[in-house]
Amino acid sequence: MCVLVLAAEHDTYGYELANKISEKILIAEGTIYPLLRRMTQEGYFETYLTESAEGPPRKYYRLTAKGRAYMLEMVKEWRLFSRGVDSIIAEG
Amino acid sequence: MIEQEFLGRLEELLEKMPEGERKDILYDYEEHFQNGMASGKSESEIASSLGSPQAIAKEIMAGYHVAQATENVSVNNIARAVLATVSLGFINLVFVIGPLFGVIGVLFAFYVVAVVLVASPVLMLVAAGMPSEPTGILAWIFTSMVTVGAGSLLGIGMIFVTRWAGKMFLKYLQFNIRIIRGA
Repeated sequence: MCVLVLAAEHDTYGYELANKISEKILIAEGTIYPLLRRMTQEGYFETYLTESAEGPPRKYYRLTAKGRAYMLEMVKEWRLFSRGVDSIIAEG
Repeated sequence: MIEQEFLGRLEELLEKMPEGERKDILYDYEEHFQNGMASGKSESEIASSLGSPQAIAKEIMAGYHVAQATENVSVNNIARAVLATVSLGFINLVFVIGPLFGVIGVLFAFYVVAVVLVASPVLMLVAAGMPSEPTGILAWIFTSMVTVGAGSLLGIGMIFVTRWAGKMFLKYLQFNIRIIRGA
């Protein structure tokens, strides 16, 4: 879900995503690539290669319309879920 | 050096995948290393933040096997997908193997019923002996027609149900990988 939200702002590439997510959440960055692959296969992302000034050509990920719809759905569900958990913590 | 080791190890672990896909995956990690070094990180820093090649390979193989099995539903492919998913962790063992045996058990029970129905004319003869009077023989023929018909229909139906159950189970595997690894 984080991947989808981050990619929604602007097209992004794997390394940038991995960095942004691991800044905030403890995660093995290597697992982001299988995730991106799976979501690309499911049609949530399109990829294209772009030359970059420094380093190798980058594989960019662009969120598709299907991906955007899926993201909005996930965010909605997450809000509901986290509100539920918050209220349980507050009452408990 | 560390980068080469990492990529080499990952390549070995992914040897069962088609070459094109494997190259594609390895390229992602190569790119990651190069981007990391361009921003001033050392190879070992990058490798340790990526996590172990084993963990990454398991994740990739699980996704791959499930995708394979979804495309081409067969007992073999489903078994591979189950094994790969289970190898992701102990929790999966409970959530995958349990329902799997449940489903197989129910399917098996229905097949047994179908076989018994088809075999019942013979079973009736064995149990009660050949009926002597004509009405008994007629009764035997008619009940046989009913049970054999019902049994064969059930058997044929079960083949479709089994195929459908296999597909549903693959959906469940995908759902499992997604939940446990977090999408």
